[in-house]
Amino acid sequence: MAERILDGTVHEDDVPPGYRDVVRVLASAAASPSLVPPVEAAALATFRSVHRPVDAPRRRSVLSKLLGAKAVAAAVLGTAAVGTAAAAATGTLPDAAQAKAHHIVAAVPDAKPDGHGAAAVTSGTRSGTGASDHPALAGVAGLCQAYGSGNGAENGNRLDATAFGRLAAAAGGAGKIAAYCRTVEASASHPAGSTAGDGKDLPGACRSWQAADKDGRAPAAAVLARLTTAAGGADAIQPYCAAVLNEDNGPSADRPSAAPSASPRGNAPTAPPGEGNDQGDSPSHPAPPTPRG
Amino acid sequence: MIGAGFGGYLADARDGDEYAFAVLWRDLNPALLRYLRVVAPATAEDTAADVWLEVCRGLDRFRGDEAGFRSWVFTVARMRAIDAARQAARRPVRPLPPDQLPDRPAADDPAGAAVEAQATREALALIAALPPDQAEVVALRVIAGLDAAQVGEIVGKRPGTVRVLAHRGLRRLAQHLAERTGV
Repeated sequence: MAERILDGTVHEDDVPPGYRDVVRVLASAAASPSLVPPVEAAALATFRSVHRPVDAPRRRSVLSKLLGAKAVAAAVLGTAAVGTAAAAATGTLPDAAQAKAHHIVAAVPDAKPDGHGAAAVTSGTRSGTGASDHPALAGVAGLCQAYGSGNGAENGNRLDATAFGRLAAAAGGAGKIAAYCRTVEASASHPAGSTAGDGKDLPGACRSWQAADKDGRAPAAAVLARLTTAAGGADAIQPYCAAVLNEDNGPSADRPSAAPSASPRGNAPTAPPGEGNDQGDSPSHPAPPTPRG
Repeated sequence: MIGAGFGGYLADARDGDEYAFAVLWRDLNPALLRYLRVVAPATAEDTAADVWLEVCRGLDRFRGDEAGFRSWVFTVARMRAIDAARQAARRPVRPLPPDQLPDRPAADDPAGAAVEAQATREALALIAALPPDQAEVVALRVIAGLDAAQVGEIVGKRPGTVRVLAHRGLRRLAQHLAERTGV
């Protein structure tokens, strides 16, 4: 019995009376209190600072220098500096880096437009309900787009009950819609995705970045990373893109964008960082945080 | 737990994929923080940051499945917590008042989350009040979700000893709760 209590596999009604409160206390201990998103920014900065991609340029970008050193310091000093780690991280990072950190955090839960992360999702936990299992993929993709467009405020804002129901049924549950849609969108953009990471479609990435910047949205993580590398720093993206698009003005306007990340789908609005604080609700389901409905 | 996709995320994180690392982090960090609040309450957040730094650095060398990964992360956590306790003994730190603890809900949290966080905080404090060896195995069993054999490897004790310690911890918790409600 004690082992089952420790495993959390027994209900409080099924234990001796003296142990009911114990079961309750242990259940509370195993439940996640919410976490503040800037802590995730710090964790990702830590990751970035020590774990450069194998094929990335050896030269560290301005962004990673800023985020690396400062955010690790913020993470380590966070609580000592009084108040929440959130406040510390926010206060410690330079403004520009902080803004970019928010962009990155906001972009992280999004589908990886280069198909890399999406491939893991598709081949992994989502394989059973992958988009390819559904003949009406195009229709579902449309629903996902509509779903994503309502993402900023409330999920499914612009979906009526019928459409939402269809999407929930396809996803295998309302709580799984976000993850499902990422898979669908990744599958839809996969054919072009294999070339997205090589940096050849910088104009496309620039257009995507500019569109996101104009709307105040976060650019997709891959777009941001590619442009940061290409421009030599996050702060240099804007002038860099202005120059790139100036050169590239003529023919590319009619050309279908080669980078899926440049399509509206590739960087569908993600939840703002302020809403990403309910992870832990379903540890088995690594979907991006969705606002509680 | 992440489940079947774990291997893919781990491989991608090794390749420097932030999204994959975020998945691993999100899955494990809440439990890590709760565990650290039991075994190193004063420095839980700082220690968690140290743990993740070490995990990031060791990611390339890690081999194993999800259970192995959890065991590894909590092994690192235990060692960092012991270091933190030693440092604290040498140089006392000023404790934060409870209302400034980092798990204080964010401003946009619904009231429900606040209640939940409060219940969690109380539960962690109750476990932390157990004798240290009992608190540690109860925390690893319940919060980290590891079995007696895995816990035994982490704390350097045999699974049988882990079970005995955990059972004593439960009995003590039950006594404590009965006294509290009986008063």
